[in-house]
Amino acid sequence: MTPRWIIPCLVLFAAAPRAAEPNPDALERLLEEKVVSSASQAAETLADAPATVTVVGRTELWALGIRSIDEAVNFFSVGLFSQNGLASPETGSRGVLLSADFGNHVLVLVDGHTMNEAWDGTAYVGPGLGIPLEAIDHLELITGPGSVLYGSYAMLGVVNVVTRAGRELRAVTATASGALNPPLDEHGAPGLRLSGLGRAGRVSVTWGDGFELGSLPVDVLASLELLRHHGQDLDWRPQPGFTDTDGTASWPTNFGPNATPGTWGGRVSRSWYTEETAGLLRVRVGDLEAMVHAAMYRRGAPYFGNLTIASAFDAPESHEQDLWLDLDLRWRKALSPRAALSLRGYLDAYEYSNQARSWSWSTDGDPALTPAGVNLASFGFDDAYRAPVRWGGAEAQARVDWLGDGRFELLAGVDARLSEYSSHRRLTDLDGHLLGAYQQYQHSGWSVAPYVQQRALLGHGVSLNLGLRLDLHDAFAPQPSPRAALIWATPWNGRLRAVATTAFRVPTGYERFDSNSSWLISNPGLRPERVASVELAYEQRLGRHAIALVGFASQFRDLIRFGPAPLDLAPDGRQWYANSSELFSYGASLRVDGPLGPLRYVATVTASSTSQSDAPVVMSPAWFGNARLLWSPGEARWSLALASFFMSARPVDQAFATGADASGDSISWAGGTTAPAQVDLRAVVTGPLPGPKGLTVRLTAGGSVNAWGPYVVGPLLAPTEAGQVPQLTPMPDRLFVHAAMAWTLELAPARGSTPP
Amino acid sequence: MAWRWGRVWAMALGIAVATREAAADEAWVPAALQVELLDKLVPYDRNFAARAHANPMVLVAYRDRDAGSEHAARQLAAALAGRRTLGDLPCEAKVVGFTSAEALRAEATKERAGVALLAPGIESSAAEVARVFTGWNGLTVSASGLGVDEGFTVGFVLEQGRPRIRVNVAQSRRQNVDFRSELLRIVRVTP
Repeated sequence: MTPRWIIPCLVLFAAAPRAAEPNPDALERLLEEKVVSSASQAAETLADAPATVTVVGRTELWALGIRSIDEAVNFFSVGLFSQNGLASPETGSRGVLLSADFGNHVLVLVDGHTMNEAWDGTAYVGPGLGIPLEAIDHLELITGPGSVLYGSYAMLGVVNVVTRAGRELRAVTATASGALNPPLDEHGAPGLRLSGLGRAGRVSVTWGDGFELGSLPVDVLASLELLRHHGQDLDWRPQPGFTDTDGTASWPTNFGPNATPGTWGGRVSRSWYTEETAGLLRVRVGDLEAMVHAAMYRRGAPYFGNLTIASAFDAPESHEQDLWLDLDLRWRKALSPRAALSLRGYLDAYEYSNQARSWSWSTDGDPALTPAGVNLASFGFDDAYRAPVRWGGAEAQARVDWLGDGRFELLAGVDARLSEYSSHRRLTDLDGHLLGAYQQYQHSGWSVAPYVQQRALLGHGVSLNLGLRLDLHDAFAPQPSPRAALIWATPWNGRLRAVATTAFRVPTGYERFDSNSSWLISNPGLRPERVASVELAYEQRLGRHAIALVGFASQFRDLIRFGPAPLDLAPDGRQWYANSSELFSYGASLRVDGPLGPLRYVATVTASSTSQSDAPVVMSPAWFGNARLLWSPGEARWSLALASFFMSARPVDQAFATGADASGDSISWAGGTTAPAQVDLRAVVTGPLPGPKGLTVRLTAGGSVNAWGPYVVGPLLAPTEAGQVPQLTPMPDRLFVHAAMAWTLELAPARGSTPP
Repeated sequence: MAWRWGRVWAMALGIAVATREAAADEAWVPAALQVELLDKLVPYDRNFAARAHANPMVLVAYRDRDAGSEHAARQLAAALAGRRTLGDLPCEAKVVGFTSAEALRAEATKERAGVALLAPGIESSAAEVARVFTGWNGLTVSASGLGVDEGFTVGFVLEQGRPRIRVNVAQSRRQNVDFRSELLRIVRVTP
């Protein structure tokens, strides 16, 4: 017979809570959560961020053979894309790319330090960024406006490069890599010859460590890299019939000793190259952190076009160069359990310079003679342009956690900055004799920007983020940048996010003040550009899979575009930068990701429709995206990745340029104004090499399915007679192989095995 | 005059670096995510259920007189209070100031704590905590992820924008924490 006391015990036992069983799926799903700090300047999970953010970790960059940030944008991001016109890559967002802006619509940060220089707002996402990949912990790619905390330039997006903690590395890493590209003929097809191969080599050394200095924690990261690239031979279709005139006589244009007079085109073998040398040092001691960054980025482009400086054909003397020196010092202190203060000072020096090697004719004899009777002598000269820039400032920031538990946090700050830049031109002959020199302009200015952000966890999974920044400039009207975001974590593992925000970009010194006697006049009265954007996003987790859908709409106003100046200001037909355009863009992005057995897949696609008030939209794809499959069985084992990036056909940059025929009637291109759909593919294998401990190798092979990019090259940027079609840039990585080797020497005893 | 200003700047710099408090906004796994991770982690300890019934308290410790550390501790405690369970078993949280490992262990014993969650700022005492807590029954968890090599049993660290779990297996065993092998395949293990 069952004792009576058993039954109550059984009842109590049944009612007592039971410990949970291990749930590997749930734990691994949590370990796949991403934590970002750029969207709110505070650590928060990706799902709680008031923006669309893509996080790309260092090992992902390595696993996909990524060589620069623009590749990371294309192969990883949701809604951002990059295009490479054989010069510096350009970045667009949600179907909008404003070509020839030199990167001044995307804000680039390194550990929160603005890299966009103060003269033309340029920041590079290609090799010109000058941050060794080995120094990177992860990238945070924000799609959409970001001025609420960062001010100017963040109209299309924000790229924040977060560097590694030295104590996490505790090693010295040396990397060497090289790439080969076959030459391309005038049809954009790879050639089967060893001569004319494009080649690139890169070496880098990174040291990171953490230790105690007395009782103070010290964290150090130092990284250096050297990159040298020589582009493959490119064959350009001849563009004949160019002439120069002095008003009374005309003769074939002199494109230099590597071209037939009057004809631009042929084989380029010397003028496409890149040299980059950069270093980064970051030291944290207690509450103080200092960063020093220096970089040199020099390149020659193999063509004359909208993105490159005018030059003789295949002249390696023509080049552009950027020099950077950035200093950042910051101090953080918790004043109380509810309040913290940080102070930051920064000083940056930058110089842009270019040299265009050009050729012309010197004449002697009677100028009234016909060209056949004039003795022409070819002479070359260098037109050098230099713009030194300095800026510096201080930022103070306070954080107040009203309740002390992280639910209601206020961030308030002010950023004050001074800047100074000038522009100089110098003409010399080939012997270096000065033909002329002058300073075009010099300008200094200031800006002060207070900002505030309040985050609130309201309960029931609802959070609110309200922010406002007001940028005051010496030369422009105050620019407010508000943001409101509402996020709801649903009880069924979903997330709904609604965001409304604005951003702006101040006109640059180059756009306002630059001028020359041949094609440009200044326009000091330019107004800031503005964008207002809304987005509605929903993400649903289904076990370890996730699907996210983002709808967006953006209205751009007062866009600064390059075009014909009013005749009363420029009767000679020169052009200028003017607030001339409005643009509206709307669409949606979709992202899916998850495991497929031992594989991991991610796929994204963005579709958008873009319309512009004053002219058809160029360069902006109607849809684009990426997809990748990764097999990575664990650290210290070989892994394989297959990745692709794709973009729809889109109008080329000069698609709607018009010319005039002999009778003065307007003519358009006869065709060839659409760059074909782009599909880039790559396969990457990486793994440990037998032999010395810490040796890893990576092999990448890839290419573009399409032959042509969206940039028009050569002096024929508009049709001069009926039936002409533009010449386009070939895809720079039409076909390539890349090999990299990394050796890591640990400074501390091994920390044990790591998860995949 | 110049040398006097030089001394002023040197003193200011010295004050700026002389502290070792938890950085106000140093990157760490957000409190709510840490608590979720802890909730999914504890069932992997074979001794968790028995310990939790007897010792349901989670002590959240901060470095005494370190405002940043205390702020982090209160965020962790608030996240725990929002959950009320760990591994499906009831738990309570109490915030205490850390003055020494001995004092913390005494508090843990008095409060019947099975988990000591250590806010950023206590990492430099990891070895001392490991020595004192040897033989104790429970987890010592580093919220900054630091100090696991030196003696905390578990730590949550941010790497490449993702949370990672570090486990000191040897110290865990000394504290009667017996993790299942399937956990050790997905965390970073310190032997």
